[in-house]
Amino acid sequence: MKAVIRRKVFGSEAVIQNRFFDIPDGKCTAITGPSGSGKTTLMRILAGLDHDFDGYIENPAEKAMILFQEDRLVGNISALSNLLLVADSRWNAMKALSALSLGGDWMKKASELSGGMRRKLAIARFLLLDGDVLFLDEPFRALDDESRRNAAAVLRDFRQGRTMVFITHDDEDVSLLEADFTLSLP
Amino acid sequence: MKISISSSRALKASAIVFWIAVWWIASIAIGEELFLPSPWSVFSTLLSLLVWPLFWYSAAFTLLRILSGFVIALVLALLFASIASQNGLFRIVIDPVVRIIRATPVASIVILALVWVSSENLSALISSMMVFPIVYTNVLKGIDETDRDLLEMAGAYHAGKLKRIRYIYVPSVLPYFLSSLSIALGLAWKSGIAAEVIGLPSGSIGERVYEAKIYLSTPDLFAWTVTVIVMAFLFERFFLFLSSIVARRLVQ
Repeated sequence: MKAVIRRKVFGSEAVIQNRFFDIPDGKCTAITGPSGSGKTTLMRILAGLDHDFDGYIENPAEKAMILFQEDRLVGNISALSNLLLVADSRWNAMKALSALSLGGDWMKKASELSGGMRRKLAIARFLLLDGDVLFLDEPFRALDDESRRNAAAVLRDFRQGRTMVFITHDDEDVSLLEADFTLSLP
Repeated sequence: MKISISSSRALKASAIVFWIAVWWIASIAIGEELFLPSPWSVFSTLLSLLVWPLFWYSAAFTLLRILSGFVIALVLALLFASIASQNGLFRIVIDPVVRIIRATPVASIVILALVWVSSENLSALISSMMVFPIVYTNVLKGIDETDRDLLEMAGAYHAGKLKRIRYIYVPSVLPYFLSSLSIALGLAWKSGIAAEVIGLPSGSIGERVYEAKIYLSTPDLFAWTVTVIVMAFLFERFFLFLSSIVARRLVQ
């Protein structure tokens, strides 16, 4: 996948200008950079969520799978119901919950879960998606070290040789997800 | 100061007893049944009404009409709010009608409605007209306030339309719907009985209330009013219980 972004603006400010990005197929690419450097904007463009930019994408993802930076959970329904939004069966939803050690919390409302558990729930929902390219925006935000390692192992297993792009501020995430390349935004 | 559930119930019961005592003292002070009957007089009148077959007929007559008006309004409000959330033109067309119904006094609508429908079904029409704008406005607000990020997520995850409704729209709308329900339930009874008192459909509670007023039978008037209050209370409890069960099922 290649992206040519001549100009992407928010209001009157250009977030990304005259940049070329090459995302190798079947590889894992980490995007790093300081806050406000346009990492999330770049990911949204690559994932096909943002079309409002001057430029083009070559060989875009046919079906992008996105783990958003925010958990984007429905607070007043159960953890299981949050997964049933995308799951094709309760069995698969429960399997995804168990993979992230949330099997015992399936009845709890998402709003009753801690920040770390909410992140794990968002990752569990991500595991139920189907597609050819995985996009993850700060996948381990709010997770403790042990949960971070467990979640990374689950995601590595889930990837199965597909192209993966993830955003991180933490060098440890780069090694945890076994990134092949690192793309640093200024 | 924290109050336990049992002592809170005891306090609520004490408040009712207190006001009945105030009513009783006031009726003794006035000393005229025509102006203010005693609680005992109203209670004994109510007991005598309970064994009167026409009492149950009138109660059923009014309940059936207010219930049907309420349910029709709920269904229409949900349907119209769903369409209005998707269709801007429909929303613009409906908006003035909703505003006018909300602002018009019940009595004016009742008198106007008597020209259109028979007095027999008047309370159903009036109840539905009072309930519809409240539920419609609240449900539409709930749909409008649905988190855009969640909708974007559902789109990116290719979630089906029914799943989006079930897992995103319904949880978002539910608090607005339940809040409108508790207001609408009380209003359905108030407006329905007011419609019956003006339209005087034969066999209704409204007609009984009107007769009590004509014959200056204040204990009867009070007894029928107590009947309406009890029926409205049970009606409200039943619907709120039903909706809490549905809500609980939806969040699991």
